Amino acid sequence: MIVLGLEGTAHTAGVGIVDGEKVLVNISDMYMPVKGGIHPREAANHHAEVFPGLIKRALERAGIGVEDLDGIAFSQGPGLGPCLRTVATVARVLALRLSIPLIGVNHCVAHLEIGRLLTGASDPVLLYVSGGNTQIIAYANGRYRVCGETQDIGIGNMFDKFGREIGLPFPCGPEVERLAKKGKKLLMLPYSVKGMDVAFSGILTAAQSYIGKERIEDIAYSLQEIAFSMLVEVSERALAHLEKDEILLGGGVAQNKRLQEMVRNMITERDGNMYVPPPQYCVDNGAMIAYTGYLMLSSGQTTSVENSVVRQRYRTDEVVVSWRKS
Amino acid sequence: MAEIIKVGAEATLYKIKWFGRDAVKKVRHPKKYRHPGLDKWLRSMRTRHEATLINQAKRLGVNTPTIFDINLAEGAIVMEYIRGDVVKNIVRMGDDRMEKICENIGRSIAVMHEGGLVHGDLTTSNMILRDDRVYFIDFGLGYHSINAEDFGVDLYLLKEVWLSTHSDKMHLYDKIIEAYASECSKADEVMKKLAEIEKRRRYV
Repeated sequence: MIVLGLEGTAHTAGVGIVDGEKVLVNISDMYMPVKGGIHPREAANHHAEVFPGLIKRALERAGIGVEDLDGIAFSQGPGLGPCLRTVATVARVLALRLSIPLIGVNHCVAHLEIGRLLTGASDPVLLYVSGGNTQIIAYANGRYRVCGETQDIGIGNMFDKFGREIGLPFPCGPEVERLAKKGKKLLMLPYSVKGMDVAFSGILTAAQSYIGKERIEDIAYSLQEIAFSMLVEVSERALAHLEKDEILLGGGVAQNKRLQEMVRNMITERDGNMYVPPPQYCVDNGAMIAYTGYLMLSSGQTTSVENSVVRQRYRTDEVVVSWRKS
Repeated sequence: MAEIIKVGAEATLYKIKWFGRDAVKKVRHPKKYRHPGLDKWLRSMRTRHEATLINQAKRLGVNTPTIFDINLAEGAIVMEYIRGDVVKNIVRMGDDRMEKICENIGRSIAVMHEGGLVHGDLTTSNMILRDDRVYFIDFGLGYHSINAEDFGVDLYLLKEVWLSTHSDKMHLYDKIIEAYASECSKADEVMKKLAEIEKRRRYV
């Protein structure tokens, strides 16, 4: 069964094609803002421009024609409205033109499924950390439950906002990581864990108030140390509460080496395992949408055009996970 | 060697004898993943804080273990051993008295809030049923507040846990909320906040 997947919730336009559990192709084109962060309309225009070329290239690389496709999957949400609408339009046109099923995929669930496929994790707790999203997700009772999440901004967004203040280019995470390596002094920042949830806006404000007073490397270091400690703590709580022993990382921030080190330390002490997908599958990508689309299609879950309206606030736990037995 | 009752995410619980009595020693061991300074600060602060809150809750009339001793450097609290089962298991297995137990839980949370205490981690693993009384443990993330907003967050966490652990028994969560509302003077405001908090989340 061959499914083409379209990803476009934020700055990445991605196209992936899977044949069952085999990823045939995964390519993308990222919108880079000239200055500042993502402008939703600009990003949507970018996606509209690059999708036709991307799809053509993806089919060529996979060595197949459109007539070989069994379904069109697209990122239905959550994400930026203009971007989602662009992707959905492309997906509807393809599905209608080719008379094949359309499958609306939840972006967060897709991160988890591609991680399971590529790393071999079977029933992990997913620590999903990206620009817009920060969630701890795990399977329970037929759905992917949100065990904990940010109460305000995504962690990547926090790094971006901090980075912008000190003139770093978008996305700022990798730059903050580089600076943090040279940091030594731990500055006091609010440690904001509320049960299973975290909040980042207070830390951001406190970190910004240090600019000009402390070494920038020390601020970046403290920002990472405190924010990551919070994430690892709530992940560990989720693992303990749900009695699981696998942790899967996903999202752009998952590539941060310090975060990986901290998670590895935590899970090793719990006699569990950490799984990190290859970088191109950690960030937003088309293959994860295609693969989740394949899972949904094979269990009979498709989306009619009437129900394909985009969901900017599509919650992870709304998805009925019919393709998993336990 | 003390018998380990539970290895939690944050602390390990040991069953020990304290001058002949059954007791629990809760130790917050160092976490290697975090900065040593941050680790020391968090462990000592949470230990002191938790002991204070457990005592305050007890004074308000909420069932909590009696504290025998604390040791900040070790991050340890020695307290009364509550013989019973965690509410998480009771909910999973079902119990004839389930509705009564939930009323009990709702009322106790209301009493804490009335007294200006926020538990901060209202999971069903942090409630133990002994006879007909529900004991609240693990006040490590608790704090003082008189704001309806904070009470709302406290209840929201309970709802989140219920959704992720007992999603097939939401009527019991509703029972807790009902009992809470009948006992808490700020209930209307808290309920409004609770609804607000749910909407304020990143994706609803």
